[in-house]
Amino acid sequence: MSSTGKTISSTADTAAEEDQTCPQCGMARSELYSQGQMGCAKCYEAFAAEVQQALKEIHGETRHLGKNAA
Amino acid sequence: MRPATSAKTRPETKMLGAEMPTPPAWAGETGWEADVILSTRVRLARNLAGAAFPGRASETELKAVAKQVLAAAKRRDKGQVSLRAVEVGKLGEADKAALVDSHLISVAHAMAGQSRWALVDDRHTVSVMVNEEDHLRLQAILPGLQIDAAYTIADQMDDQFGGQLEYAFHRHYGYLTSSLGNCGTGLRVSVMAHLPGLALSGKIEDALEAARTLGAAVRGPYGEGSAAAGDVYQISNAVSTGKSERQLLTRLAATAALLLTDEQAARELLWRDRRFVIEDKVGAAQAKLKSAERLSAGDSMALLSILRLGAQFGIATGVTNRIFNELLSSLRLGAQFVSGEKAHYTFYEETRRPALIRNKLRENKR
Repeated sequence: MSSTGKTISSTADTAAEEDQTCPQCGMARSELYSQGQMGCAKCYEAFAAEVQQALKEIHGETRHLGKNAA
Repeated sequence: MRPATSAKTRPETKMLGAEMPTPPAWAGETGWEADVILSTRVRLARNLAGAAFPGRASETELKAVAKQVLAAAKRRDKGQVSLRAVEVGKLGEADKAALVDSHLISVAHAMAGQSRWALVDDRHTVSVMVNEEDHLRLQAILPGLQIDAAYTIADQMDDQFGGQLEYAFHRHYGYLTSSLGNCGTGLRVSVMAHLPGLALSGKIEDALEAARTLGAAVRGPYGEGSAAAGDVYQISNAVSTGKSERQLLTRLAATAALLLTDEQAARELLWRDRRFVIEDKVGAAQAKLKSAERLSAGDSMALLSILRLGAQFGIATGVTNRIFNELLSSLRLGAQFVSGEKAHYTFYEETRRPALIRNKLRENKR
């Protein structure tokens, strides 16, 4: 597991949000916390709050400023 | 004894052996501050849009991704690098270890299951790990300190694959990766630095802390989780987003330059003030190498480290920059990570190392 996974922590306020899963790969929020890795591209939107928080903690920034995909 | 390989795996093993030059191109050249910086590596992490990342993907999905990537590797324009595909899971342990030693694949990739591939060029300057932590890990590795040149190669390879595959890309987050630690540029630029002068002077921790303050991550020579061995450290960018590729490359170049200067200064002071200590250590290492019946990966690297330092000071140890790199890439040092608990394999490697090193040094004297 990646060490960066440890920085993914719960930001959900309600039990309903805790149960949320990614509509594309089926990854549950609890799996994201335990594995620390994204399941697919859609997870970035499904777990937007966690992603924003973790990116801020790891990189100090969330916005990509580099090369763009063709 | 070498571990037995099944009849099924033998053809791939043989094919790989035929492909592998000994040593890889990055090990055989010198220059570019090679007294301290052994090699430079640039890696770009990419995933395919619409497919689950390897850690989440089913066997069928992994196969489909590999098929797409391998097809893209075959379609190349004139002047683009030619890559050969090797299915890692079907290789014997010795060949996996050789790829790890050459830094063409990671330890994790060597140990992963089916549908894991490595695409390598003839000179072993570039490689693509398929279905490692991300669908593609594009990598260029060059001798010495050559950050811009290595990035240019990786960037061109990225354009080559990106022109044929739809990458997972988000307008705000950039390139989407399995680990959020690689998100954004997907870039990791790293230099392999040999820092025995700082180690012997007791200044290594301060120097590495300074590197960390400048935004670098410090690892052992075999990446995440590997301990430093033989005073060799992998220095890389700690963040991958919020900055452009150019900014990340420039910052790492500045960190490498700082370590380079510190190490060179430490060596000068050691030679001026504590020459006898170096001479004693070199003498002890030569004596140990002469009589050793087996050498662990750590012991081998420690011996070679001091002998390389001695050679830098003009002592006739035979461990030139080139020989050091060649030995590092041929002593199956990565085997200890790949083999894990398989003690018989480790024992085999440990018992053959002293002769391999002695023979290499003898050849070089001729």
